[in-house]
Amino acid sequence: MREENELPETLQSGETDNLQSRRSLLRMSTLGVAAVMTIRPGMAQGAVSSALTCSIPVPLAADVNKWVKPSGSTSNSPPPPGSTWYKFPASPQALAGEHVKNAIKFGTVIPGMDAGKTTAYKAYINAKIVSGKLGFTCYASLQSPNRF
Amino acid sequence: MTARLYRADYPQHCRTHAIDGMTLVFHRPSGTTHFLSAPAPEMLILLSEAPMSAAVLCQRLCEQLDLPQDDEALYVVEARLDELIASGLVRVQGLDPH
Repeated sequence: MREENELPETLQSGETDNLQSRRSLLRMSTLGVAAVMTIRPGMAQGAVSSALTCSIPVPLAADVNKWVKPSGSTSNSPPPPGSTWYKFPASPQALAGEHVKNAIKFGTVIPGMDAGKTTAYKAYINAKIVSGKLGFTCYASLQSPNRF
Repeated sequence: MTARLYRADYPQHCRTHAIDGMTLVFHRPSGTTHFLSAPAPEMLILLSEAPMSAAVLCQRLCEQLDLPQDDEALYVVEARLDELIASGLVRVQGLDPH
């Protein structure tokens, strides 16, 4: 059992070890061990490789029979005839990640849509596609500034 | 004489966590996670303060760690820089006209 008066000696030897390990940090003998190890979980790898082929459902299954407003919010009723309020029906198929990326980054319209619908869908994605929702991994991968 | 300048956006664009003497880093711009052992985190902190060449980085690192600066230390710093560049945590800024 260690006595109290042995403690300083123990600390001192610890400090010596520390100095020794600090010295060895910048010696060539340490180069056999990598200082940077990148973790590549399956999901992260998938996000990188499929950033251009992934898709985002608009709207989500919960909003499938609703109309998307320019603000990104949804409405249960279709636009009344002659209304100046634009509402857009659900996209029959999920939006391609690349088209959404181009719309966000370069302001282009999504193929097959006009500017109004693109804007509404973009606003919907921004508001509704959050962590845990279908399409979020795709959306997040499009946001990465270094990726494209 | 020209020297490459290195820069790092650590730790502003990273989420870091110390584990068992190592540093776990989530690099937000690339969405990748890295395990760093010394002296990689120390190098990143120095590079994030100001872009600098490998020689200056080595000098400051040796001062910080209270170690003698020699060619071997510079060689190791350059090797570690290559690792950090490969991981995307460090970028080459450009050429230094001095």
